[in-house]
Parts: sequence; structure tokens; C-alpha cells
Amino acid sequence: MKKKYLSYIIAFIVIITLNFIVPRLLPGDPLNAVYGDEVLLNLSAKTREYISSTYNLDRPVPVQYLLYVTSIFKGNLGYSIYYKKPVIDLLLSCIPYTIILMGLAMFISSFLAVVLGIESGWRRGKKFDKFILFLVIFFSSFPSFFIGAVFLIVFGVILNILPFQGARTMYSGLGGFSLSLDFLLHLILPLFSLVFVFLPSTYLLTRNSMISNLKEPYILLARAKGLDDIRIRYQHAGRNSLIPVATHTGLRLGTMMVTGTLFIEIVFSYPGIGSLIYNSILNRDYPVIQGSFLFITVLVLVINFLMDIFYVKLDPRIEYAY
Amino acid sequence: MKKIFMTLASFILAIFFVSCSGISGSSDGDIIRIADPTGDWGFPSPYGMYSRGPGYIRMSLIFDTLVWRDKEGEMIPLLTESWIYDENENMFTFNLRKDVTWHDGEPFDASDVIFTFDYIEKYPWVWVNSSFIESAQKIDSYTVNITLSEKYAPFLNNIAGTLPILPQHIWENIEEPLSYTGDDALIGTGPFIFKDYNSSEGSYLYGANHDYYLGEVDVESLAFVRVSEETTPAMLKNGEIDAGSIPPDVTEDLKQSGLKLEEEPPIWAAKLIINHRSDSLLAEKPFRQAMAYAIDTNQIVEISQRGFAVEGSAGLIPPANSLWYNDNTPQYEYNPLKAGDLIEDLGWILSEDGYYYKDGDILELELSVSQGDFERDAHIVKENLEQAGIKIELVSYESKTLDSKVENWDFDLAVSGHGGLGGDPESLNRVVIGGGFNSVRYFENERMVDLMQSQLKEMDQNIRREMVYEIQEIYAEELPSITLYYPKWYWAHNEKADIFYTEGGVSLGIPIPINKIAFVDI
Repeated sequence: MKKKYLSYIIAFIVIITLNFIVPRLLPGDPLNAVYGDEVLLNLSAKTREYISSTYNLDRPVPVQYLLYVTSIFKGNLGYSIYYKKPVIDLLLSCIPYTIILMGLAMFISSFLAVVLGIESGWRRGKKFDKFILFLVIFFSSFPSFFIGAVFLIVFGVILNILPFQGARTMYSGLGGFSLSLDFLLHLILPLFSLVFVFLPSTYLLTRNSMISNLKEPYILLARAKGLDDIRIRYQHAGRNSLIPVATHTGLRLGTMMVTGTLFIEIVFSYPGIGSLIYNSILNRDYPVIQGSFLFITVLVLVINFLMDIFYVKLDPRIEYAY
Repeated sequence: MKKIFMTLASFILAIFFVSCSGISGSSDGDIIRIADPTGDWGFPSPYGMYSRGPGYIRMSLIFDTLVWRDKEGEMIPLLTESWIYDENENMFTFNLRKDVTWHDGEPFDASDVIFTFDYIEKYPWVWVNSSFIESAQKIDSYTVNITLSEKYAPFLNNIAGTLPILPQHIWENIEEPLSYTGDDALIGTGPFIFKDYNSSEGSYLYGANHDYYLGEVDVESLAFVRVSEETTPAMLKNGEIDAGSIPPDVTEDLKQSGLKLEEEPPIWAAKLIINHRSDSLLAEKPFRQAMAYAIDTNQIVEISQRGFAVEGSAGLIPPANSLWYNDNTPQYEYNPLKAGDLIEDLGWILSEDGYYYKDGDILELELSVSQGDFERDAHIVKENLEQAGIKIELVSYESKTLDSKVENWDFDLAVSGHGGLGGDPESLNRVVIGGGFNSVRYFENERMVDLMQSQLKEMDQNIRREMVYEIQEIYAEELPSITLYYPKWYWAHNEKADIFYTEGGVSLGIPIPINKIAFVDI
């Protein structure tokens, strides 16, 4: 177990270093990205100097790195050059939206995918399986932003039954329950777009895992014991099919957040961390890029760590592997 | 099953918590909602706003300047009653209004003005170049003298009409203005009082300042909300928003729906940027002229911009800037034959494959374009230049990468653009002899450089105009870049939101139809 902790620490150090280096490898610098476009500005040498020194951009890169690492350990993620705000405040204002959107999407998509995967695997080759498999593969071939755009156009613009911009109607005078309802209505389109994005891979994995589990001798034993179908399907084969699904979800979390959620948030102008990352990359806002990726990194590491513990519960054999 | 319910319950709690955080709003009554596709333009204090036009507009509703431009672009007094310029002393004297109070009830006087000028000297503010200010002196409680370090023609517009006056009693203790977001950071003298700013939602809410010295503010609340440009028309039609920028293709449809349209004066320039510092043909003036003859700007306007643009002027300043545009600037009518003659004069020979060659080398250039922007324009430019015998390789870059390549002269040709051409011609200096990537950084013609520097110091507007006219003529002759077109942009609004474009733009020349005095009964 000690070895495991050490590997987490090494991973963390490597990642924060990469986090520092990669944004600086992007062509262009923050001052140009933030101030360069606007012709009306009077960016004199004195003003440039003042801004550079305020954001430590005039310091040598190794000093910037040292400042970055020491401030991380002090819990300070720096100060945004574009947003002119502490990075931690920016993250804190976006994270709840992403957690709700992504968390609910993961929850719903995993639930649906597992149930459909188990049922599909159980009925392999039959009409139900073929139909679901076709639908899922059909949807999985679309990029996430396309699914989002289709949902937006169909339900938001053509049918005009759901809001499709932002997370709530601002300054609408709503309060209490109607405000929460407004928030929920705004959540529906991005949420279900994301469910469609997340669902296919989990479904396919559950289905495959289910198919191979159904061939195991313990299923034969369960049948021989005269257990009913539902119990065999869910408690015996289904539960064992969850092990690879849990690993897969843990590993994919970072990718899901950056690729899937980012595009969906941009399509629906949803104020989550994806929109923040997108804008900060466009503006070469190093502190925000570093802070957002650090947050995702830590989140993925924590989830992986929790998954390590969770597997033992799912599959007690793993404990003996250490 | 229990666990599933627990998880769901925690999500519901989280939704309730997040949805109830922040201000949900004001009364639905007299509120004007303005749509904006970006949404967040920063904390609306002078130092906190993002350094772009929309950021300035949001700040300008709260903070006032000494003078301001009205709808016709005329300078009107705001915090001042009158002003005079003493040419011998190179000094402006402002007689300030005596009936102005800050939003927190404190009285406004000359100390605040002096403090603001001193403050931007200590903490530079990106919109104003404080090096032109020699000193700011308080004569009495309501009179200030601003002495300039050298003659500076755009002073009234670019400093007095741009610099928001800060309350001394608040900002005198602030040592980190870029990060100051305290409760009192948004106390100004303007027609609107700050109510709410939500960075993640990209929304702003302002309330009327009923004690505004200039007159009654006739809108109770003003809100900016994030709405994409594509969905703005639908929301305008059903009354969910009152004003917003719209794609040009829907103008007719909205007009028929009874909405009013405002056409922005086309002052944003899309340009073919030329690496005139390279050791290739691009450094030769006749070759640049040949390219101008070879490019059919009318085709770009009609096809790429679907008619919603004005053809570029070779002198860069757009015809819409009526005060400074020179009608006699020589232009390059589409003429591929003339282009061919000019290239042949440089010793290149047209081969059977349709391209020019010299000493066995083909005439080939790389045309860079940023992904998504200007791609259609670039295709037409490529087609035009290839028809004229110049082989073009089209390369696409992410926009900031392209900016960086242009800044480092690591390109041949690039399609890019910038705004800022609608107001004072000081911006012409920034995009011709300035240092940024938006500038062509062209110093080959000494007369033009000299004229550019002197026009800034010429206080007689008529003489200055002659100088700016000549600059355009020289620019058109030298062609450090080729202006392709000025796109037309539109806003739509209903009767409730009586907005207008300010001639020459708001303040420094911001082309957004939200001028705070539109909401005041003067």
C-alpha cells in the first residue's frame, strides 16, 4: 500500500510540473492575448511593465515555477490575468455547475447503461439486444457537440419547449421553488446531451462483460440451485460485470470532464469549468489553465484512489493482490 | 437502492443550493434586457473590467468622465460645466459641476479629478496613456488645470472623454487596483447604480440613479444577459430580451416583426497582412500593388460576406469615419492584367502552368488564416492570386498562434483584422507604426511616419485633417497591408430599449450602440 501512496505522490508532482510547462509552450503570450486585440488600448511600455510585474510574468521561468509550486502548497492557485480574479474564486464559482451537470449525467448514464447492458447481454442476439446495440452505436458515432447542437435546435429552437442558454433565467424576479424549477429546466438539455455522450462506452463494456460472465461456472451453479432469472441476471452476473465498468469510469473521468463536458457546456453556454478552460486557453490565461487542470488532476487522482478502495468491496479478491 | 436514493437526494439538494445562490432578480417591471453572446466582460470597475469595448461600456454606466460624446459624436460636458484650452500653456481648464454626488452620497469635487490623474500615473490604466499628462492641479474646489507634457490633439476624446473619475475617498487606500473588488469598488457618479454581477452566468444588473445630475434616468433597471447571437432573434421576437446584436441574415425578418434595426458604421477592417520585412517579393512595393489589383474585394464582399460588408479602402480609414476619411484616396480596382504587368516588370515570366517563374523558381507564397475566422475570405484571396499567377498555399492556425506568428514576422501573407478605425485617427498610428501584432509596423516611408507623429500634436482640426488625408494617400501607395472589407454588423431592439450608435463610437470609438446618455432625459 505504501508503494501505492508513493506512486500517487510522484504522479501528482509530474502532473503539476506538466501543468506549468504546457500552457507556456502554447504560441503567444498572455499580454498579447488579453490586451493585444483591442486597438483602442494604450498599452505603453510603462503599462506593460506594470501588468507584467503584477502577474509575475517578468520573472524568469524557474522563479515562476517556484512561485507556482509554493503557492499551490499554500492553497493559492494564483490570480487570473484575464478575469482579474483569484483562480480559486473562479473555480469555486464554476465547479458546482459542472459537478451537478457531470455528476448527474454520469449517474443517469451509468444507471441506464448498466441496466441496458445487463439486459442486452442477457438477451444476446435477440431483437431487444440488436435494437439497443444499433441505437447506442448510432449515437456513439456522433461527437458530443453535435449531439448537443441537435438537442438545442430540436427542443430549444424548433419545439421551443426548453431553455437552452445558461443555467437560469437571470433577473427574472423568480424565487424559491420556481427558481429551482427554472434551474432544473435549464439543466435538462445539457444533461441529456451528456447522458447520450457518456452512455455508449459504459453500455458496451457492461454488455461484453455480461456476455463473458454468463459463461462462467458460477452461473451454471446458480441455475442449478434453481435461482430465479432476475437474481442471476443482476446479483450474480450483473454485479460481477460492474468491476470493469467501475475501473473504466474512474479512468475516463478526466477525459469526460475535458472533452465531453467542455463541448456541451460551450454549446449550451453552461457556466461550468469547461467554459472556463475554453476561455482561459483562448486568452493564454496561464494561472486559470494551471488551476483548472490541477483541479481535474487532483479530482482524477482522488477518484482513482477511491476506486482502488471501492474495487475491494466489489471484488474482495483484489485485496489479496497486494 | 438506498444508496441510489441518497445520491439522487444529494444532487437535488445541490441543485437547490446552487440555484438559490446569487441574485435572482429585480421586479419584472421596467427592466431592459440586453443580450450579449460572450456574457462576462469582467467586474465593471475601471481596473476590473476586461480590456475590450463591451467591458468599457459596462463600466461607463457607473462611472462618469469629464466630457462625453453624444449621438452625433459631439463632445458634451459631463462632470464638467465647461472647459477651455490655453495653447500657450498647453493646458486645459475644466470648470466642474457643483451638483454631483457619488452613489454613496459623498460630494464630488476637484480633489477626485486630481486624485484620478495622479492614480493612473501610479497605477497605469490600459485605456489612457498618462505620459501626455504633465500635471493636474486643483485651482479651487470646482476648477482643475490639466497641463499636457506635449501637444496632444486627441486629449478631449482619448483622455478627458475616456478616463473614468474615481472617488478619492474610496480608491486612495487601494494599492492593488487590478484585484480590488470590494463592495465600494463600484461607487461612481454615473446614471446607473451597480446591483449585481455574475461572472459565471455572464450577467449584469444596474438600477437607475435617481439623483443623476444630468437629468432623470428613464429606465428603472438595465440588465445584460448571456444569449448567443444565433438565438437572439428568437428571444427578441418573443420579448424575452429587448436588444442585442444579430446575424445580418435575419435583419429583414426582424424588421417585419416590428423590431428596430441599428446598423453599426462599418469601421472594423479585415485585412490581408503582408510580411513586407521578408526578403522576398513582398518587400517590393510594385508587387504589393500587383496583389491589390489581383484581389477582387467586391467578390469577397458579395460571396464571402453575402453582401453584408463595404469594400476596403486602400488608405485603411473606412468611409464610415466621415470626419477623417479621404474621398480622394487612390483605390485599386480589380484588374488582373495590370497585376500581371507589374509582376512582369519585376522580371517574372508567366509559364504555361499559369504561374510566374524567375530563375527556375516558382512564385509561391503561404497564406495563413486563423481557424474559423476569415476562412472563406482566404479561399477567395487564394483563388484570385492564383488566377494572377501567384501560387498560394493556404495554412490554417489557431487565432492566438497566428497572432504570435504575425508578431514575429513568421509568415508571408495572413488574413486578419482589427477595429478601432471609427474614432480619432490616433488609432491609425497604433495600427501602422505601433508595436503590437495588430500593427503593420511600416517605417519605410519617412513622410508618412513624420505625418503620423505630427498629426497627434496638431491642435487645429482642419490642418490635422489634411495631414490624415495625406497619410491615407501615402498608405494606399505604399500598401503595407491590403484592406479587404469592413463588415456590417447589426443590432435589433424594441421600442422599450431606445438605443443608438454614437457617431465615431462611444468614448474612444467603441462601436456598440449603448451610450449611457440614451437612458437619460437631458
